[in-house]
Amino acid sequence: MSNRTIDSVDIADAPPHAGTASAEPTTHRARTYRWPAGEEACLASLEVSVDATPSGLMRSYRYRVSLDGPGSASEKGLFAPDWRPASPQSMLYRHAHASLTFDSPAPVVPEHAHVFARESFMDETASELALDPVDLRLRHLDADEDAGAREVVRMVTERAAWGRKERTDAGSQWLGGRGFAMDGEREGEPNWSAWIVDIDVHRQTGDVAVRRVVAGYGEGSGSLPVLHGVPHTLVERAVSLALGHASNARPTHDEAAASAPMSFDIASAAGTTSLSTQGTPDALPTPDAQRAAAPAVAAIANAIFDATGVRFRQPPFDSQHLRSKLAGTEPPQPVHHGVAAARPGRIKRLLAGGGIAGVIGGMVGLACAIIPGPREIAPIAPGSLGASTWSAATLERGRQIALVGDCAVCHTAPEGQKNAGGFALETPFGTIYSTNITPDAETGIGLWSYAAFERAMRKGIARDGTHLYPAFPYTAFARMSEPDMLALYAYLMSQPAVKHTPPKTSLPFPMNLRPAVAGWNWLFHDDSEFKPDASKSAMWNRGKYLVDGAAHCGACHTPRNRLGAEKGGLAYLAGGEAEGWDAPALVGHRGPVPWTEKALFDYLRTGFSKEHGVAAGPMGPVVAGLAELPEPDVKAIAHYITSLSPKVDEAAVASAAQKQSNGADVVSVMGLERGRQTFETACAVCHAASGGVGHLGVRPLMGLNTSVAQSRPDNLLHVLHNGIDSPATAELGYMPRFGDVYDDKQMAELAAYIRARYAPDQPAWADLERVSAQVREAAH
Amino acid sequence: MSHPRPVDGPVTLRVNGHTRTVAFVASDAPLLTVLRNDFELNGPKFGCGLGQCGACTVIVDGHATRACVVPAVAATGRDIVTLEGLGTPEHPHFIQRAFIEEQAAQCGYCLNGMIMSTKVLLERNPVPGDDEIRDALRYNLCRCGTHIEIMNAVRRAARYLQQDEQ
Repeated sequence: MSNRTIDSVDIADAPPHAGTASAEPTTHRARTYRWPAGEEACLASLEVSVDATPSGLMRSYRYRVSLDGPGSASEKGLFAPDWRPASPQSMLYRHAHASLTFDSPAPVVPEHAHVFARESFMDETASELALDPVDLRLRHLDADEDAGAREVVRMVTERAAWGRKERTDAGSQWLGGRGFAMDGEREGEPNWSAWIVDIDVHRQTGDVAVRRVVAGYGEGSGSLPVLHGVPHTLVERAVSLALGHASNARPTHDEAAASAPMSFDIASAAGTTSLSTQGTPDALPTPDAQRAAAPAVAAIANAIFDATGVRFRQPPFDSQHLRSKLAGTEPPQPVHHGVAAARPGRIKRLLAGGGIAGVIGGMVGLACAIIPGPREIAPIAPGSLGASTWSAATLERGRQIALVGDCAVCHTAPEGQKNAGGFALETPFGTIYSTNITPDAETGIGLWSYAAFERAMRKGIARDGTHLYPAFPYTAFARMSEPDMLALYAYLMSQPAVKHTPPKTSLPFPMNLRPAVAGWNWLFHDDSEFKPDASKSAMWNRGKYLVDGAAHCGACHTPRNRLGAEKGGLAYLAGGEAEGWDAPALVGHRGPVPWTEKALFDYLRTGFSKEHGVAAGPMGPVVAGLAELPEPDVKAIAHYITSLSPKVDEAAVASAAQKQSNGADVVSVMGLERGRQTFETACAVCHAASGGVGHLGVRPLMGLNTSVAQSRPDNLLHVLHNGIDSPATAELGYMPRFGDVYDDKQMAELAAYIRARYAPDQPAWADLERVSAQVREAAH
Repeated sequence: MSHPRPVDGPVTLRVNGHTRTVAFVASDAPLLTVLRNDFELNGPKFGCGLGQCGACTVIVDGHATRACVVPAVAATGRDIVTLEGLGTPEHPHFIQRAFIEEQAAQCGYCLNGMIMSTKVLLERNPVPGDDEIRDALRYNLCRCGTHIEIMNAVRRAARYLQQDEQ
């Protein structure tokens, strides 16, 4: 290579901390990175060296690029006299002194190579100095002049929840890691991009799975930064360029087993894109897009390092290489940045037994004394997020979470628009109206950043800092994993905005004191994420994760104490109440026939189990959601819930069901003749074992119906009065309402007969006429 | 909620092999009303309106269905057969022929349900015994008291079915 030039230039501005740190000694650090470039088998050498103080101030920065082709190795020399300046892109951070040298076939070395070298080096330095890699970068960006860059970094790290360490699953075959990288330019329009990549690396195979990418780019100055999401197609492409091979991951507790792994479809991208084309201008569509995607490769390299301690200084990061390195490496002890400390022990059990007024008073006092009022979280620019911000996989994942969580059930008013709020939730403390969770800027959550959304979901605090009532089950949602939370946010923010102001919730004193909820939270709310139990199967963990988290089963099926908090311990899923319906216990065998895993799956998936009856009332919409989920998720839920009860013998269940289906003989129902007549006229055509030629839909037999054997008649009377006009799934069929046909006396006779005939082991229900009147009243 | 609550609007039904759209149907309008008023099929009768007497019986996807308690929207995408779908006055269905020959009607109001239920019964059980016939028609109410004739008609229909098969 004869055409080499050297031109070392000093392009640095004054360092941010030059004056204060000048006394510190510096150490010299140098690393060489390589990038495939130019003709085949040709490598670009990218050498970075700095003099850094132990506190992480990089005073000088030297960078040089050379082509390292076959046969040219001998010509290579450090700072040979025939170099010329690199493009300013290789320089991003502010140092006291910086020099860039650039080997001559400049166009051959793509911009991405410079970004890779610089960002990998920053990460290595941060790791060696035990500093947060983001923090280290921010120190070398000027607070005023680089305010736009700092803002972009802030927004991306906030959205990715940087600093929250992802799960540390000791027994897992997969090592998790997270990496950060950024790029930008000051010339012309300021333009910055930042990436945070979460990956999993398999300990044995070295397979790399990209679990999540949070990437954003921003234009404009510091005063009014606008963050754009990086289009998911671009993300997928950039990731495939970096890895150059297919990768996959087994699902963990927060992933649906049936769906494709949450990594991007790298296999198909890799088929069409080879490394030799990655630096050419057509590899990425536009200069803007190139800038947006530039940090991808370094972010992945940094994430792999975070996960495994193995540093790649040359792409692609193939699993074979990784595997051989992993064989002799202990995983590093990553530095935990800003991880929340363990919660101190609380005194909730001492206080929970107190009188209601006393405890409330105490709570207010505690709240004032200990818990400072939550602050408002700054709004995001309206309309700055949309469906194109996130990958299709993320949005689909979010849609499923929304289904599991039944968001729309409570956040949609009858006849109202989806998720626009206004659903009246009757609680023992008064009526609470649900809020608008569409991305409308004025009336919905359009101004909510991810941080605000996550805080609401985990801590029950709205963006403006006010406390939400725990009718909103953030007590359960706190268990959700971070990727699920983000996917849900993505999904909700990409839905149509609906301008609708729901009625204001006004509870009577003292429940109208929202700050008192802080005390309630302190007493009753544990905001820790779900921790899988390594001794249990993946299916079990998946089931528990869904049941305790997004699906918030306990909100209805766990009894609550006098302050409206779910009881713990033995009361877990031991039966509760929902909208005037009795939510049966999910543990123990309280019905006439024990639940098998298969029966529970059928019930959850289709809304009907032959041995137990039909999902109705508030459970109807739950089943409607579950019917759309991947089947393994519903199986996991059934598996976990069944595991909470003693194991049942299938044969015993079958014989119990057989015995139960016919009910008691006629003798035991003497004196209930009028109820019998009503049953024969109105019910038997569908609900008797011998019921004529039948009817469209399922035929639940009363002897096998959970609501008939429950201790309270409420559920049966709800159905008798109101029928089922909106079955959970289309195959269930409809039931007419009888509330207008029979008065409370007739209802009482009918219910008494059904109870005596079909639940002969249970005591007769008392006060049926009164309960019937209540149910009638509630329907109006 | 993911399972859509029925809404007011147009409803398309496939009745006796013909598909037709009715421009506006209230979400809670029973199938019977739509069949009688919009499709002008008066075979199915309005009796009790509570699914108890069986006069409104039609066959939906092979199931005897009390059209007075099933919303029309619930029958979307399903195969609906009414009495008119069995035969014509000139060419009655063999079950209809059996009922005529046994003179099983007095007022005749229940006969739609009797005939439709018989059809479902014979499809399920081509050679029903007397107890099975009684059980199948148990919830189709007849106030005139022609039960003996109806039993005879069903037995005769079952014989016709046997002869056809031979």
